Amino acid sequence: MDELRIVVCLKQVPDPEAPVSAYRIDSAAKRVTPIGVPPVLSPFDENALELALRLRERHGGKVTAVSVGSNLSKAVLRKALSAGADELILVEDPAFSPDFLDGYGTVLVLAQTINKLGAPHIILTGRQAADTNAGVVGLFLAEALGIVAVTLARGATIEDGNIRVERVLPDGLEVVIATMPALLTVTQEAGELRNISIKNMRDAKNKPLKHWKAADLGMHVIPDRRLMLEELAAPARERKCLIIEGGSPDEVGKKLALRLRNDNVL
Amino acid sequence: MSECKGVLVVGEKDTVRETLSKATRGVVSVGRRLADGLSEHLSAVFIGDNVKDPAEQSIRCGCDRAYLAEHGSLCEYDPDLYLPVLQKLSEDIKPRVVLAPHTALMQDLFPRLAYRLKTCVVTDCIHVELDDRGAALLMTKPIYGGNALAVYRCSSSPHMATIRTHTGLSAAPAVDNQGEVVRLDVDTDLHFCRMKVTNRIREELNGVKLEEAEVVVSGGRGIGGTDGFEHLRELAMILNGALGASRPPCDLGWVSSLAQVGLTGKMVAPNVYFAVGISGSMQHLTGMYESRCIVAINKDATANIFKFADYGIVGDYRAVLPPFIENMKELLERKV
Ligand SMILES: Cc1cc2nc3c(=O)[nH]c(=O)nc-3n(C[C@H](O)[C@H](O)[C@H](O)COP(=O)(O)OP(=O)(O)OC[C@H]3O[C@@H](n4cnc5c(N)ncnc54)[C@H](O)[C@@H]3O)c2cc1C
Ligand SMILES: Nc1ncnc2c1ncn2[C@@H]1O[C@H](COP(=O)(O)O)[C@@H](O)[C@H]1O
Repeated sequence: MDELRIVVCLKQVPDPEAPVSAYRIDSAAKRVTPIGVPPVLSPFDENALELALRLRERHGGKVTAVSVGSNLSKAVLRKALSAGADELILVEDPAFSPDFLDGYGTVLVLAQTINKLGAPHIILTGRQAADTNAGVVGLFLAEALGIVAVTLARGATIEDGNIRVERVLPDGLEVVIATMPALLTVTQEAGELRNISIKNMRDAKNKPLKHWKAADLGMHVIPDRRLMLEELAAPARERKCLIIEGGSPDEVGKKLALRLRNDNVL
Repeated sequence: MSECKGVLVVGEKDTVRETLSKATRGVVSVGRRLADGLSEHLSAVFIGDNVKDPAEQSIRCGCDRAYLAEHGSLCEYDPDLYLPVLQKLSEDIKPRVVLAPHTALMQDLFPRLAYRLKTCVVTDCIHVELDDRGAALLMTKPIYGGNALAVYRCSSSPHMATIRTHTGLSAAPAVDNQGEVVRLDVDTDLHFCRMKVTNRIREELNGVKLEEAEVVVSGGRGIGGTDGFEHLRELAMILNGALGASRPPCDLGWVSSLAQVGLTGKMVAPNVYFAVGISGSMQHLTGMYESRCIVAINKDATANIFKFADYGIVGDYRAVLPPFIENMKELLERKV
C-alpha cells in the first residue's frame, strides 16, 4: 500500500459544556445564539482526530483535517494542527453557512473536497455533532463516496490491507473487519484528544493551512436543502422541586425517606 | 411526491424474548396515529432469520400489513444485505413516511437508507405530526444537546424519522387488528461482504437492566470515585433498581460505560430517578427527564438539576445518603 492517507472531518460548534442559561433561543430568527459561549471543536470530532493520530503513529502516513462552513474560527480549527494533523483545509464560503447547508449539502461539499484531495484510505468523523446531534453526515458521506462505513468506532488498526475496528455496542463491543477505503464514525470511548504543548502550537504555525472556496471545488450552485427548519423553541419542561430541609444531615435524610414513602413514590 | 402513500415502520425484534420489541411497538402506535390522520395504510417490515412472530404481533398492534424478509443470511445485521431489501420495498410501495425506533441498529441503518432513497432523515425525534394540510411530516427533535427544540420538515420523499425510545414510550396495547403478512423475495446471491464481525463481547451487568428498571440510582462527577458508588449500589439494591451514571464517572472508569445515561448513553424513564452529585447538563437530562419522579442530591443549591427535580436535598451526599438509606430500609421492611 502507498502512504496511508487519513482525512478527519471537524466541525466547529458552540461549547456544549456551557451552562444551560447561556443558550438563547431566537424563535423569530430560528437561531440559537449562545451568549458568551466560545466555539470549540465538536467533542466527538476531537475523539476522531485522536484516533487518526494513533493510526498514523502506528502505520505512518498523513492526516488531513477538513472543516466546512462560513465564518470558521481559525483559532479553534488550528487546534487540529497543534494536536498533530499534517494539514488543515478550511472549506469556507458564505454559501456554506449552516443557514444554507443541511447535512446533505454538507456532504456534497465534503465529498467534493475529498475528491480534490485525492481518495484517502480512511475517513473519520464524529459519531454526531454537538449542535445538530444528528449522526447523519458520516454515513451520508460514505454513501456519497460509495465506501464502507463502520459506526461507533473506539479503536482501529490496519491488518492485511483491511481495517480492524472495535465498535461499541449498547451492551458491549464487537470487532469488525472492513475493506478500505473506509469511513469510521468515532465515539468518546476512543479517548480524549492528547494534550497540546506551547511547542506544538508554535510548530503548527509552519504546517500548511489551505483555504478553499466553493469555486475552488467547482461548486457554483448551493445544493438544495432537503431539510427545512420550521420552528425553533426553548425546551420547557422544568418541574417544581420540593427542597427537603432540616437541622442535620441525619434529619434531612430521614425526612426524604418519609416523604417519598408518604407520597407513594417508593 | 403525491404518488407516495402510507406509513412504513422498520421494525426490530426483541432478541431475548423473540417478540416485537417494545420500542417498535411504540413506533407502531405513532405510525398508526399518522396513518389514521392521512386515511392511509400502516405497514411494518421485519428483516432477519426468524421474524414471523414479531411481524404478526405488529399486525395485532395496529399494522395493516407486515412485510417479512426472512432468510438465514439475514440473521445478523449487515447494511450491505439489509439496505437492498429496504430500498427495493420503498421503491415498490413508495411510502410517504418511514419510521423506526432510535436504537443503535437504526442509527446505523436509517441515514444510509435515507441517502439511498435520495431523501433526508431526522434522527432521535421526540414528536412527529402531520402539518395543517396533512401533506408533510413535522419532526420535533432536541438539538444543541437538548438546549433547543427544532421542528423540521423534509422537502424530499419519503419523510424519514427515528423516534426516541425509552421504557416510558407508550406502546399501543395489542388489539385484535386484522392484516396480512407479505413475504418479500430475498436475493440470496448477494455476496458483498465489505465488512464482517469477527468477535463480539457482551458485557454482563449484574442485577436489573438499566433500561427496564423501575428505580435508577445515578451518580455523577460529584461522587468523587469508585468508593462513593458503593453507597449508590447499596441504595439501588434495596430498591431493586439499577445503577446509572452521568458521563464523567464512565469516562473516568469509576463505573462501566454501559451505565451512562443521557444523549449518548441510555435513555431511561423509570418511576424514580435519583441524581446524586450530578449537575444537570442538558445532555444528561435528555436521558432521564421523562422519569416519573426525580430526586436530586447536590451540594450546590444553584445546580441545574434542581430545576428538573421533584424532590431535592442541598448537601453533601456523603452525609445525607447513609441516613436516607437506613431510614428507607426500615420503612420498606415495615411495609411487609
Ligand atoms: C456531544 C455530547 C454528548 C454528551 N452525552 C452525555 C451523556 O450521554 N450523558 C451525560 O451524563 N453527559 C453527557 N455529556 C457530558 C455533559 O455535557 C456533562 O459534561 C456531564 O453530564 C456532567 O456530568 P456531571 O453532572 O456528573 O458532572 P459536573 O457537571 O461536574 O457536576 C458535578 C456535580 O456534583 C456536585 N457535587 C460535588 N461534590 C458533591 C458532593 N460531595 N455531594 C453532592 N454533590 C456534589 C457539584 O455541585 C456538581 O453539581 C455529553 C457532552 C457532549 C458534548
Ligand atoms: N461542516 C462540517 N465540516 C466538517 N465536518 C463535519 C461538518 N458537519 C458535520 N461534520 C462531521 O460529521 C459528523 C456528524 O455530524 P452530524 O451528522 O451533523 O451529527 C461530525 O461529528 C463531523 O465529524
